[in-house]
Amino acid sequence: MDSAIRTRDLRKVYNAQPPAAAGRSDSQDQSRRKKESKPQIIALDGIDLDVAPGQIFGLLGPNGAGKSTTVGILTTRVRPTSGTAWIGPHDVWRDQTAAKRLIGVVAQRPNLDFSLTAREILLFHGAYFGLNSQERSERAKVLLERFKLTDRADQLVRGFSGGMMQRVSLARAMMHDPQVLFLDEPGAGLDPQTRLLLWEIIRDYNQKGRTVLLTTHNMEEADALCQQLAIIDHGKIIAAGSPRELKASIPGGFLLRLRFAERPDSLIDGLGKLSGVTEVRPSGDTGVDVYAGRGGSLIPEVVNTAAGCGVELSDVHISEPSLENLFLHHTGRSLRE
Amino acid sequence: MNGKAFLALLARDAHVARRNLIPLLFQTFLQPLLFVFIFGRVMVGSGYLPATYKSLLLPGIMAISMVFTGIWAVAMPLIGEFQFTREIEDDYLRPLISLGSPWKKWSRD
Repeated sequence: MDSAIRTRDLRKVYNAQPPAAAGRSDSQDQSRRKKESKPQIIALDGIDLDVAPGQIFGLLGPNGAGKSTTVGILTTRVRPTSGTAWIGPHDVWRDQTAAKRLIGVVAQRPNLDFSLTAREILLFHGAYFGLNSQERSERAKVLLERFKLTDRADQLVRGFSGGMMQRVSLARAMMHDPQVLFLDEPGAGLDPQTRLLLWEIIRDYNQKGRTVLLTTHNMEEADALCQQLAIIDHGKIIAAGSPRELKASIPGGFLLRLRFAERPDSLIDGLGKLSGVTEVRPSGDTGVDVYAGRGGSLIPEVVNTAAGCGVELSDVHISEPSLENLFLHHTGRSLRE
Repeated sequence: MNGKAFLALLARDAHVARRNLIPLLFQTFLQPLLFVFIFGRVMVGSGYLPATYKSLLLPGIMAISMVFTGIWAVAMPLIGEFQFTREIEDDYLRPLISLGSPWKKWSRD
């Protein structure tokens, strides 16, 4: 068993609208859908992943990039159109029951058994996975303690808040001590405190040698938590590596997003000639993205260059090296667009 | 088929049934009791139906109770699992049996 999770040329084409959990509702996708007369949506277009055991692996991408579909396939819930995925030695489609035993899944939205209390959810989940009753009650107690749920452990989860439900979901996924833990946007909808608790728990779990695969569109989360990252957009992996490697791969590091009153070609040439500038790209109508080795110290020269071309600088935004810039560099659009 | 997981599922259902015992009893017995009262007592007693109708009533009530109890017991929890709690996603992850993927067909959300 070389890798905990492996996929080869995974493709998924939805003939109708994909599940809303995949979050494909941004305007760009809708306009794309209109252009094609057939309602075929390519959610995944050849995904190759290799996740080593004991890693926290992050899938980073905007809404509708194919993150949830990837997780869906790996957790036996979605049938791939072509390609193969393995969890450890098991092909997730051929050998579903064996694969299910190795994985724990936290879905994007809580899917708890509303007829039960938090403690009962954990106990019965343990029973489904064949734990004996002593193991079950011990683990449930430890997990409830860990997730700060002890005081409400014996109330029905129906009345829990979103954050509490999310915590119960995670506790449930850890109940049978799975080798591979899937978290689909674990940070979504949590307050900062709970999110930090969650990060700590995920790290602890990983320390025990377990593999964690999480999806996120939050750069901070990916940066803080993941040892390996794959950036995914429109069903393709566009960059992969450790957060540090990925950041180092951004030309220049700093990104200056400039906006001018107008954008003559001489301006772009002029900006490209400034020292420390590695790449200049036009963006939008009158904007220019400048990748450079320095940030604020470049501004006076930018202003001078602009004045030399007879245009006025109307807006400046400097971002430090971050995964956000990386995403922008690879896709030409920001994560939040 | 995984016997242990199946037994655990049964235990869970028994547990929930015990907790919701009173609504469950109402749901199961209220309708047949009302039918018996209206058709067997009121209608026959007031002379709209002959007294022999009572013997016809019994198999009818039994059949209708079985059908409705069955529909309610299966459909209602399923509607909840698909719509509100989305628990079906988790049901499907239990290492019980591979059904192919019902998920593929069902997943319209």
